[in-house]
Amino acid sequence: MREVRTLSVVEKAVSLAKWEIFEHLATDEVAMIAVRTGEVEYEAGEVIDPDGPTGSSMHLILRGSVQQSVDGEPFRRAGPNESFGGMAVFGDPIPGEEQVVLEPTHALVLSRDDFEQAVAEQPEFALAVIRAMAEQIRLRGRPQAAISEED
Amino acid sequence: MALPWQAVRRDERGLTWSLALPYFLIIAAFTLGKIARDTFFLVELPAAYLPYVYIGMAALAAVTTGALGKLGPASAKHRLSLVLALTGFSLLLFALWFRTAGKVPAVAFYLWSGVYGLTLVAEFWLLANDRIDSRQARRLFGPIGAAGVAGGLVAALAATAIAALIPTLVFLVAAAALYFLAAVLVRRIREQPEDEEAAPAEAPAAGAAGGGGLLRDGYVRLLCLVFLVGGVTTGVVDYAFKVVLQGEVADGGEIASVLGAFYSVQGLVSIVAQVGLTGAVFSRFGHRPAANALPAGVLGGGLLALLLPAAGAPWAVLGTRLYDSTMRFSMSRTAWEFLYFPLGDEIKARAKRLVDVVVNRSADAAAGVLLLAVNFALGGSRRQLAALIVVLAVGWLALELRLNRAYPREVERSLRRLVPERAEEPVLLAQVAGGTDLVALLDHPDEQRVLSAMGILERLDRQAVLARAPGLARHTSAAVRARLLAIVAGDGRDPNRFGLWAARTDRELASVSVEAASLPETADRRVAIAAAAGEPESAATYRERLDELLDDANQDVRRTAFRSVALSRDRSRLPKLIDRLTVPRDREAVREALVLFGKRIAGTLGDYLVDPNVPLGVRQTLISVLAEMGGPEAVHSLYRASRLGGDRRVVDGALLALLSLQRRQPEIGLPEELILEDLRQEVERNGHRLMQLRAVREAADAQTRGFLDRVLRERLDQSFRRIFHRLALADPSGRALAAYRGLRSGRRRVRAQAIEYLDTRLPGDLKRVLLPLIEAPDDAERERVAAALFGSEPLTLEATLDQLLRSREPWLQACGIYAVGMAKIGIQRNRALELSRSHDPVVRDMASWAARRLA
Repeated sequence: MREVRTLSVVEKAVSLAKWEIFEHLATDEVAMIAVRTGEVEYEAGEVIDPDGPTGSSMHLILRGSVQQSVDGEPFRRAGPNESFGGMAVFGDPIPGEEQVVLEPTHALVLSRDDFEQAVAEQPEFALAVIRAMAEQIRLRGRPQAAISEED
Repeated sequence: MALPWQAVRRDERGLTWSLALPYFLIIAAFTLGKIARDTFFLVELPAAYLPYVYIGMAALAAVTTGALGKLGPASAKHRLSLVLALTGFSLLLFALWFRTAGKVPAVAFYLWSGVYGLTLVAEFWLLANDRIDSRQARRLFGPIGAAGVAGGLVAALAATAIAALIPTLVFLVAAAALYFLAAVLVRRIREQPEDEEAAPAEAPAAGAAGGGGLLRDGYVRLLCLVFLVGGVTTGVVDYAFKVVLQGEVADGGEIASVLGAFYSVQGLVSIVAQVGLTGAVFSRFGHRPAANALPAGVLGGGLLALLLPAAGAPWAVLGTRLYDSTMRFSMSRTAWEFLYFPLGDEIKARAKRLVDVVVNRSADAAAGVLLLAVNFALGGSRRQLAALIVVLAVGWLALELRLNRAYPREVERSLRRLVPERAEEPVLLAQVAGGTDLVALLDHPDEQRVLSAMGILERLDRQAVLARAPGLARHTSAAVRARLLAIVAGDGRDPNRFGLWAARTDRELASVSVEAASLPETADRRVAIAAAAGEPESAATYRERLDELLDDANQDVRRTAFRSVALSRDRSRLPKLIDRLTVPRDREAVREALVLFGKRIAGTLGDYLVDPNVPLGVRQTLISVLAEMGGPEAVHSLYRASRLGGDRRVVDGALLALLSLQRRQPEIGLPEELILEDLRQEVERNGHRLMQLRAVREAADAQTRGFLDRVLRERLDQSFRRIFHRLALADPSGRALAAYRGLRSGRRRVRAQAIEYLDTRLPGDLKRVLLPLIEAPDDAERERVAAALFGSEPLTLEATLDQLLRSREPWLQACGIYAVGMAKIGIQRNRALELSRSHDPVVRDMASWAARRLA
């Protein structure tokens, strides 16, 4: 993992605004989130360390993909314009959860502290995240085959 | 001159024709029947018998309407086609009866025509009301009404041409044929598509029997009264006309010919009024003044008939009758239909039948009784009739003017019914929390709960805190005790009265009051010192320590110090206090302290609010401080921010805070003229934004184009919402917010009613620019309207980006720089780079980005 700085705030906002999670936020509210985000790049095959600097961050993938699994059982493949790690910002990582980078990945990251600040300042953001989390929880309860078919 | 059908939109043409054609036939047939009716009657009987016939018509109408109310199909379309077919058959039967001639069929037909004519027209307009909402009505009622007028004109011209050649009863057969044809056309009208509005099920139609219930509604009662007095006036005018006619013309064929000519002229004048005047009068003055023109004109005609010499008086009567019937068939007819839109679906149909048939016929009866009384008592001369017309017209006009005031109220009531009340602004915690629960919290052992309750109760009900002072003075938390001390001192009371100093657990507090320096430096002690610094008579040594305590590591100490700054009214520390709003962990405590500071700092907070160098988060918190503080000073500061806030979140927040304050403190007024001026600017901004939206489609890069489109659409939505928030400041009834929700509901009728509210509430100049923007069916039309209203030249992409770069809103500037950088528009480079000195970090970041990109 390496931190990079390639995007301006508006470029980040343009990218963030494409996510479903932000569709109910105004772009200037998205920009307030964008200001707080950092940029990281992961190599293919890299396992995101839950205790590392981005382990407790919400990730929003710009390019690449990440496989999410629990106890070795894959439950979701997150690609461009999708997020992962949302649960990590709420507390300790879920036991047995693992994120493996499938291909070179460029992502925006929002740390727990910044996430908490964003939630405190923008209730709309909190709602958007809750919606995304609910979707992930729904997916976790479904077999991989069904998810693949849907993809 | 704009013709009525030019206002009809392309997608409304089918609907317009489907209603206009049957109406043409209905009025043509009705006119033929009326000519036959008057001819048969005046040939067989003297006009003096007419008052008896009017009374008979009213009785028959009451019976028939009751029966029609229970008649078969619930759908307006099927009901109308059935009544049309039945009427056609009845005319054929009368034609057979007239072959034997005589007085009885002449009277019977006069009675029957008075019932079916009004019933058909009422049923037709119920159908039109069902298919058309109040906004479409402004465009569609004109052409539909014109079709009716044309129908009357064509029938009258035909009757004039052939009256001398054919027997009068042929008119009845022709009218029957037209009714059958109209019935077929009505059945072919497409069913109303089911939309999401799911109007409440209409109550069963009621006729005369249901009228009593309806009359409990004040608006319906007023409608009935207006139409009753109007109908009586018209009945007297009609009688005076027929008296003049019978006095001057004796032969039956000649009477039919004169009547045909009269109705032809009436038709011609009506069509000119409908085509040339109605639209212009409605759009310039609205439908209510158009309706007032009828009684005003009748009053004028009555005065002429009364004052002119004997030779001229008949012409005045003729002119008054012509004016009355012309207006009734054109402008007034259309204007009256608007009166039913505000009524709920459950009573609209019943009210319309009640007014159109029962009230109108009762008016004829009342006119009959009145005329009989005048004839018997005074002789019924033409001059007496003219005087009667004048008196009635004055009463009618007065009632119409009363209706002018009642209509907007009814529109508002309808809006309230259609869009239930909902709090539009964030409600402050103090408003939500129940006082009783908060008092109970004062006994809680948990420090945070007690402090929260004290914080709210201090503003809402300080006495409740003071009543619990002895218990609170023994609380284990020093912060609670310190806060109590501050409240007690702030209330100007002696702390000893509450046993605060004597309490066993308040050793630290007691020491503060005696000898603070001798105690060890604990957090509790610093809390106590901070609290003591807030007392009005505190020692200078405590106050001197406030700066240090404001930065204390302990949160309780800082919180107490913030409060003491407020309680000591120390304005020199205000900037420091406001600066601490940037620290998230202190924000709430500082906010509370600022509220405690009170109105004396409202002006200063207002200065911070409009200062673009102050961080957005701080300004947003200051808005909530001022909202909670209340009072004229806070309102003034918030209003200033709503005009000069720059960032839309400050402007929107200030407006919401003002709305919240307006609810809580309705006595604080805002200058309506200023609000309307801001409203005008907001509408203009909205229009310019639409033109910008069109221009950004020129952007070559799809991503830039899509993003700018989203940004500008958001700004349009936000500006649209602001328009209603500003309007709500001028109209505290809450209807403006309901109208906003109605417009966004997607429900056709609710939306129409919301626009009708705006039409009745907005000043003319605002109405003329805002309503076309709202009513435009799609973006393309809205952009076209905006271009026509706010500037004839379409904006280029470059000009739009230049406007964004010069915007007062940092986010729009940032987006402008982004677009310039992406499109590499060199001409805007310098302007974009100038913004590297902006106070806004995002704008500065974007300016650096653009500098790299455009290098």
